[in-house]
Amino acid sequence: MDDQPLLSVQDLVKHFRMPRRNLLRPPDVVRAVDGVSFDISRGKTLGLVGESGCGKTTTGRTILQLMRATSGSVQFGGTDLCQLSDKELRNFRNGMQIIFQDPYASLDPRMTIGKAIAEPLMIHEISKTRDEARERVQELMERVGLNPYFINRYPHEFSGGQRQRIGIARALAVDPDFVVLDEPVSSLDVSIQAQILNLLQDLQDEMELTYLFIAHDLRVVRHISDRIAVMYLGLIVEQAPGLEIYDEPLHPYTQALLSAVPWTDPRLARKHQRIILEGEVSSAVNPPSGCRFHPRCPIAEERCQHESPALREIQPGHWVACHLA
Amino acid sequence: MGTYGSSQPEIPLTDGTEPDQIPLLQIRELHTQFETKQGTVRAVDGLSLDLYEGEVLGLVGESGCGKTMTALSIMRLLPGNGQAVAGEINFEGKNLLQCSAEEMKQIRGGRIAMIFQEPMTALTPTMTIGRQISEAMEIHLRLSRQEARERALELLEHVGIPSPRERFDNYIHQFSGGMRQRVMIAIAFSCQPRLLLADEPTTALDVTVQAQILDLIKELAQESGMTALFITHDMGIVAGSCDRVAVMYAGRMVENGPVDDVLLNPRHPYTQGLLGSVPSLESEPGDRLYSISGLPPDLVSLPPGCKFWPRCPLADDRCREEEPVLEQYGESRAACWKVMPLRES
Ligand SMILES: Nc1ncnc2c1ncn2[C@@H]1O[C@H](COP(=O)(O)OP(=O)(O)OP(=O)(O)O)[C@@H](O)[C@H]1O
Ligand SMILES: Nc1ncnc2c1ncn2[C@@H]1O[C@H](COP(=O)(O)OP(=O)(O)O)[C@@H](O)[C@H]1O
Ligand code: SF4
Ligand code: SF4
Ligand SMILES: [Mg+2]
Ligand SMILES: [Mg+2]
Repeated sequence: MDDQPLLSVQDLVKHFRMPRRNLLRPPDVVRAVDGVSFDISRGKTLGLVGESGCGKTTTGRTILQLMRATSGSVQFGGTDLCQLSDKELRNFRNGMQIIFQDPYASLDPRMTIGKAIAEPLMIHEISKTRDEARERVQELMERVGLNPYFINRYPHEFSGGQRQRIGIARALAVDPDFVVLDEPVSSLDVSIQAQILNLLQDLQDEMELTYLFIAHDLRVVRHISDRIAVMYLGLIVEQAPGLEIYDEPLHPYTQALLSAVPWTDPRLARKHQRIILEGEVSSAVNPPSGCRFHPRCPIAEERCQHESPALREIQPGHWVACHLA
Repeated sequence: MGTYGSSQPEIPLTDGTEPDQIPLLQIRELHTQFETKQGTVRAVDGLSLDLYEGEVLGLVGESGCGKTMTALSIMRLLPGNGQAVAGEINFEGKNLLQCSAEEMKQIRGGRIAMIFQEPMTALTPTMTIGRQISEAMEIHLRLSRQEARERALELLEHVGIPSPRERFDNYIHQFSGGMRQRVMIAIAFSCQPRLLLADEPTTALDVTVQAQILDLIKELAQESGMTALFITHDMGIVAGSCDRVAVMYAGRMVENGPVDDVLLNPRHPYTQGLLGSVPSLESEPGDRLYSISGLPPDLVSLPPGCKFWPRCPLADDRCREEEPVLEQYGESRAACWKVMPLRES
């Protein structure tokens, strides 16, 4: 990467201790994120993909310190957020925001959207007076494609796509540098997805935003990301510049994921050899030994069961964790 | 261990053109409505649709355009205040809308089966999954309890449930999303239906599991020569799994034809918009997506003329006054006053 990254995540680990079910045995530990590293340069987007439960959301929330890491570091503009106290973190909160999949769940149903968008402005004392806040809210609404005329309406009066616009306005109110987008368009119709994706791209250009874009639709991720990281059971198994990973996936898991993408070109859909992965993702409580993907890997060898493959830079900027890559 | 290779057929089930036969399912001018405080919701508004023996027809459109209500009208399972107020749904020589409740009970789960988007809503949480599959077969196929049990075990194995004997007495909450959908498929196929209605069967699943489930449905359908109506909002699924496609907007059909023809030469601006909204392998990062502006119309007060005009970049005065009807273009039909000339191929 050419310049100093805005965000640098090193060996991030987040384990969850489950309630003890059997007094004779140690409590189960969910190894949701188990040693993840990546950088994101200012103004760029890293797409984070992988099957349900592989640790994408946990990664995003741990970076933002919405939950504290078990170990590892998160350098944001040169400061390690993991080392800061809750009080010290407050100064950094403005710089980092999150946008969720389900915009409805993240909005208070009894608060008008005008108030909802103004809330962060008042909390962080960005707007000194009510009038000032109101003006800024109207500006933001217009910016995300909402008619400011609706400022006094409640969330239930809006469609899913409009609610996502409200969520975006709220996140951008504090003028952040870095935004985690956790499946921001997954619950929306394709037509509305396209509107929101275009909006997110425009906002990134205008405000020089840096995105961590979490999604499972690999068509959407390809469209929006500069780099892509593929996660499997708490680990990154491949990371590369966006188009490169689609042209030349090197990890067998990435190859399987990509072969399952439902492209809309029927000629492509018929030509594509699908690699059908058998079984389901293994448990994050007792991940398989060696390479965590070995029980489902179509080309696994003997040593894959014992030796866990390290991430290696196989081509400049293209990292893969597989013995056979 | 996984395996390389693909169970996807090289050739589609049919070549996608309409065969010269009597359709297995024929929907004529169906109107399904809901009476609400706001007024009459026209969920399905004059839809006509033919489904031919052995084909997989994709029914696509944005959420709220009436796809589910079309399927539930066929099954006669509309929620409380909904009613098919006009039209015909002909299946095996009967108009389903005129069938008695008793006749419909025989048809449902027997000749016509349905797979729902959220399997939890369609499965009984308090009954073991084994019982749920075998009970249907006892009723529809008149099998003995023991015969039904044997068949259910075979089915569970066939749809890819590992160690079916152990899983037979499990309850649905003990299964993952993908496994639940497999159980739904086992139930749907248990009575060898002639027609399968699959309502977004993979929308809630991961792409890898989605691919497994779609291949499974296709394989089972091919084995038994079954006909399927595949409801989805994803043009990618249509591209990979269907022979023909019908595009719905505001409760009506706006375009239909063979998958290749419609997806490669979409004629209706709405179909073009739906296709353009999905990033393709050709798009470059940073490109803007072609998006359809605005929202689908309020089904209580539809605009006059073409229902798509408030969102259509080509709309003119005629569009705002006169509603276009389906016209034949090549192998497909579209309802638009300004159908684009065919792309050179
Ligand atoms: N608070 C928690 N306590 C215990 N386990 C948790 C907790 N939060 C997440 N997990 C577990 O951690 C793992 C990773 O979860 P996470 O939500 O990060 O996955 P994800 O990749 O975002 O999945 P999805 O695509 O379904 O959103 C899962 O096994 C999950 O069950
Ligand atoms: N119980 C109901 N009462 C009133 N309107 C309903 C009801 N169920 C569905 N509708 C309306 O019918 C229309 C079509 O719904 P549906 O067929 O579920 O759409 P789709 O499956 O295409 O997303 C929608 O506008 C929906 O709001
Ligand atoms: S290390 Fe072995 S099991 Fe893991 S992905 Fe590579 S080949 Fe497959
Ligand atoms: S009839 Fe007119 S408004 Fe309707 S889709 Fe065609 S051009 Fe657009
Ligand atoms: Mg998540
Ligand atoms: Mg539906």
